[in-house]
Parts: sequence; structure tokens; C-alpha cells
Amino acid sequence: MEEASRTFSKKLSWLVASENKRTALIILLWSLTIAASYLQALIQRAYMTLFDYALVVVLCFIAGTIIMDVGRALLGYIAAVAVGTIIMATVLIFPATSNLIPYPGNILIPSLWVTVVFTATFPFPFIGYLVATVVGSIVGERYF
Amino acid sequence: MLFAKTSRRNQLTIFFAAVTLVLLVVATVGAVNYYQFYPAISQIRASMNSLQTTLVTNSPGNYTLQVKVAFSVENPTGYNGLSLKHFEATYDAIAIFSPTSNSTFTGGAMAYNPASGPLNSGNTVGIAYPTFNAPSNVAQIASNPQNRIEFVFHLHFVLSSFLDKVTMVIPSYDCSGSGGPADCGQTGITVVTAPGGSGGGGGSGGGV
Repeated sequence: MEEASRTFSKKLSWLVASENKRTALIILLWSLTIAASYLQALIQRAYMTLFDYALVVVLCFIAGTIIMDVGRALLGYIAAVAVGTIIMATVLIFPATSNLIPYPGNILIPSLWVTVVFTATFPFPFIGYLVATVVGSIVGERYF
Repeated sequence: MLFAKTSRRNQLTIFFAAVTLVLLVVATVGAVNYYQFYPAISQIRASMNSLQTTLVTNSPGNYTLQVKVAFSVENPTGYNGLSLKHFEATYDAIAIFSPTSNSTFTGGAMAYNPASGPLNSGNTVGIAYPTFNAPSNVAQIASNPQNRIEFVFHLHFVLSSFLDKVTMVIPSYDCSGSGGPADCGQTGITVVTAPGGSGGGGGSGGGV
């Protein structure tokens, strides 16, 4: 059991063997958490609550803490937000483009979703997440 | 034990991965339900449960055609999270004189009905109207037993959902009959931006 755990741990260690690999992994997870956090809120009620925003702020802080380097964290944040937004927009808009909603409803609903996602992300949430990322990376540099 | 032996940074990475996994599961469950939303709104079923007409003779040559109708709206899909609000109906009366001759009379809007309720999976909301009088010319035509009166009810209601903050979904149905229950056909789905909500201009859907 102990041996199996060690083997598994070694395989997982490969993912974080270098800073580049670790950063790539964190950006991937980061984009998924941003997308998932937004999706679980928007699919339930089409808007974000303070709790949802706070959740993403905390996740950005943690991601920044893990990455540690401020420059990498900033670039990682941009990449994560971009990928996360694409994932979330695709999941939200794709079923609305089917022929179940007649024209022009099938164009109106996707454009509404684009507006909802944009207003839920910019400008203050974007700035807030950025600040949390930078603060997290500074904390990570200091304490790790 | 191995988790305790790893560095704090790796522990935080593992924690971050675990949180990601949990959020993905929650989002996936929501997304699976969401993907049933658009098929569900097109499969909402409206029915005319009953239609009764009674011809009343007020005086010789003066007739009143009393109409009593009830509808129901059902969600036969597996999607949860819909509810019915703001039910409205108008009607027309078609006087059929012969197989090749008929006239259509506009009855107008029916009285406001406050019926509302959840339309979760398998739920049905009933909408009953009090007895009302058809237009007097329709009553006159109905007094001739050789003529037949057929009513066409145009229904629409707001289908409340999680999208209420940004848009209103309004399906429309037509129900026709001269007496007894009948199924209604969906004639279209209108999507408009909600008052005060974010979004661009409104739009409406045509028939499906």
C-alpha cells in the first residue's frame, strides 16, 4: 500500500517537476475553476452572487500563491481568464444555437449570454481577481 | 501520510486540484440539467381540458352563447426549474355554415387569469376561466342548428426560469374545438429581454 502510494506520488511529481510544468498545470486547473465557478452560478440564476465572486477571488489568491512569481502569476491569470471564459461561453451558448428556438431567438439568447458573461467578468471582478492573484503570488514568494 | 510529507506548495497544489474537481462536478451536474432547458421549453404541452358552450334564449330572436373553458399546461420533460406566470389568452370564433363557407369573428382578450405555478418535471398547472359570453353575432349564428361554431383560443404565458433576470421566454399555443377536450399546438416561442435586465434589443421567434 505504501509502495503503491509512493509510485503514484512519483508519477504525480512529474507534473510539478519543473516550474514550467507546475505553472502549466496551475493555469489549466485555474481556467477550469474559473469556468466551473461561473457556470455553476450562471446556470442556476444567470448572475453571480457575492459568494461566487468571493470564491473566484480565493481561488485566484491560491493560484497566485502556488505560482509564487508575480510575472508568471500575471501572465497565468490572463491565460486562465481567457481559457476559462472561452470554456464557459461555449458551454452556455452552444445549446442555445440549436434549432429548438426559432429565429431570431436563437441569435438573441447567445448574444444575451455574451453580455451576461461580459458584465459578470468586467471590469471590477477582473480587477479584483488580478489583485488577488498578485497578492497571492507575493504571499507565496514570502512564505514558501 | 505521503500528503503530510510533501512540501506545503505541493499540498496547496493538491488542494487546488481537489477544489477544481469538486467545482467541475457541481458545474457538470448543472450543465446536464441546463442542456435539457432548451428542448424542455419547446416541449411544454398545453391542452384544452374542457370546452362547454350553452345557448341561452334571452327573448325571441335574442340569444347569448355562454362559453366555459379550462386549460392545462404540463411539463412532460425531465427538466426542473420552470414555472408558469402571466397566462393570457385571446380567442376567435369561427362560424361554419357549410363545409365550404365559414366566417371568423374576433372574440378578443379573455379576462385576466392569475393562474401560476411550478412546472417541474411531470407537473401540470390548471387554468380555468369563468363563464363568459361570446360576441352577440356569434350567438345569433349559433341559434341556427345547421351552423356550427368552432372556437380558436390563442394562449401565451411567461415561462419563468433561471434566465428571468436577462430574458423572458413566452411560448404561444393555439387550441381549437367546438366542445370537449383538445390538445393545443405550439405556434412559436418568443424571447424578449427582461425589463431592467442586461442585454441588447428584443426579438421574437416565429412558428416552429
